[in-house]
Amino acid sequence: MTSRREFLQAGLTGAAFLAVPAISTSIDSHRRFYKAIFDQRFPEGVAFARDMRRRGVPTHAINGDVTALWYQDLHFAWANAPIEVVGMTTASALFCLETLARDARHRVTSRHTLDGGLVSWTIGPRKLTYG
Amino acid sequence: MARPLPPGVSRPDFSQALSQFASVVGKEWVFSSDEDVDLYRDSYSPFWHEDEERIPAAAVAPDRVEQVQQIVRIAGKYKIPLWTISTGKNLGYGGSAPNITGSVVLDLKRMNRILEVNEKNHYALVEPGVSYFDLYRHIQEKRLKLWIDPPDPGWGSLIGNALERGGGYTPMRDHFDAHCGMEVVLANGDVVRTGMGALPNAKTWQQYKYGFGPYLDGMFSQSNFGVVTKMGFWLLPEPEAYFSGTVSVPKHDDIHALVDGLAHVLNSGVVQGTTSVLNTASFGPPDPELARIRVGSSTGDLERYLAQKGLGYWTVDLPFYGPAKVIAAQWEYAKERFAAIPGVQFRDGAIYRFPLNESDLAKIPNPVPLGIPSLTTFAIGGPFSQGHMWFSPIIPMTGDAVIEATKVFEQVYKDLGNPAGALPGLPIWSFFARAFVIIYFFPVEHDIERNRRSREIFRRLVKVAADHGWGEYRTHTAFMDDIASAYSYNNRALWRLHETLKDALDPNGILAPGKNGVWPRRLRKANA
Repeated sequence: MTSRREFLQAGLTGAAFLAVPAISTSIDSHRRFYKAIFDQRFPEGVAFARDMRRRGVPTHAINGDVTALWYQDLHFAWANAPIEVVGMTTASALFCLETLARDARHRVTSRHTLDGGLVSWTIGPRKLTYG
Repeated sequence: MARPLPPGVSRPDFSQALSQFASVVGKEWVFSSDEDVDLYRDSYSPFWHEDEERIPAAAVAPDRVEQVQQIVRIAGKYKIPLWTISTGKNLGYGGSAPNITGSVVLDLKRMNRILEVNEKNHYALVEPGVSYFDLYRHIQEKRLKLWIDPPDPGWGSLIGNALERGGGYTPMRDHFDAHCGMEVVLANGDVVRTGMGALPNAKTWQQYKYGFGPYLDGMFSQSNFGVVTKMGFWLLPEPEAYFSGTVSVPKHDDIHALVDGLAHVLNSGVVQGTTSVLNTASFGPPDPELARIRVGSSTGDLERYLAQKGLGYWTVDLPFYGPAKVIAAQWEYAKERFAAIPGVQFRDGAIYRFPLNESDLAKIPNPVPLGIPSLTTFAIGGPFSQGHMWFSPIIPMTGDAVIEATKVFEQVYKDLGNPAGALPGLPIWSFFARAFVIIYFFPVEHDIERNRRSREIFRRLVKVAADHGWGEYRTHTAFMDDIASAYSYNNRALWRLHETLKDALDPNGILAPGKNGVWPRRLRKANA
């Protein structure tokens, strides 16, 4: 698998899509994501967002900090209805979103760590089990 | 695989208890599947992948006081240990995981009502599930001229953080001290209101702390004597302005005069927010040359290098809150207190006037000292971050103590090696009045050997700190007994008093057994 250093050395545009297929092709085309979250500090994140936009998924950029995303957006979205969110971020950002999602009866439904430490993930509604 | 049982409780009895919990809160609010209960694991556990990790048996989430009363009575009947969480964000100190495996987590997140916010008298009354973000949002939506004092990060519970005696950054930074009045459910299901709350129809429950007679609030902090279900908090009236000025001094030995000056301006109320004394070599701007010479160089070499760069050896940022002309005068006064230190430098930071508009807010790198909760702290650091725990001893507010603590703790690291990934240097804070707290960052990884090593170093630090008269103010569940045993004056007199109280208030030993080293009688011999 391409390491992050090799990825950066190869340049952005051409090599960008090398990393993306591992995530994007695993996403069914009929799944409707509320948003795709990406860390714009990383070329892999930018390439991922480009791919998501091509699929018609609204995107939201972060610089590692999920405060505004959650406070102004996901807090309400999760409270209003079960939704699915997809993302490529650092593990720390995912940790924050996972913890906040838990409070809103959502959970991480898939996670894949890439070379260089970024994580691609999906968050969706928790399947409730009683008893 | 069957989930662990509460110690000493049979599976049929536990099933009965879960059924009875469900009849109180509704079955959808009793969690016993792996998928649900695993969510209460400590995300930052230093025992990840080890048998010693403390795992809950189940969780129950009431939404009102009456349900809490019934739950504790059921738990008492079956002797089921309950571990209470507010929003479960006590990361670095145990998170939402219990102290003993097999406990039932009493999750108070659903009790998230903001009961009152009084703008004229500047207070709020909240339930445990109210986070700093929740109260901030409420205040912003109502356009109230009030500030909260969030810790960093701000997603925790006001009640949870205050009961753990956490701290923030504004003049209300000592969170337990900022509380006024509480409501507590005792182990027998009785409900008590402290302070003026004991007077029916009290008009000053959140304004006058002490009520009449013995003042018991403190015994419900960092303890297992009751379940707090409401708490009042004093809030800061929105100040006119905020300003931060930096004092830096050039020599290592200037620490004495620097801290003497700092103690004066803090203790006389000229500076009222949290400050931190930073050693530039450890906490200054990134500098590969400095990082290289930091280890093994003499103090004189470091002083000369920093002087060449125009940097001081030590710095402290002084925060000021209040009317603009008052804080300008306070800064001038503070500078006079430090002026006698040869080579001292002062730098004015930004001044902010309130309320801030959106575009001003967007430019502020760290909004937390301005009473604005944030999660930015998680964005600091590299892409790999599996958690941490905090070693947090209290030391005197003197230059001698700073030098001694630095030397003593660095020797432990020399003897045992640094915990992998630990940050260099001694971060010294004044979250609380009159003393410094050191907040040492201990990384936690999903690596058994590294975590074992970190725990060994942590325990050694606890012992060495105690030998020097420095006790921790708070700790992870993994180390509660270690630290409690250090507080041993007069044959553990204080802990014997705690045990007397515990036996009287919780004879069945159901409330957070072992929290901060206070064990109920039935579990004491095996654990204390």
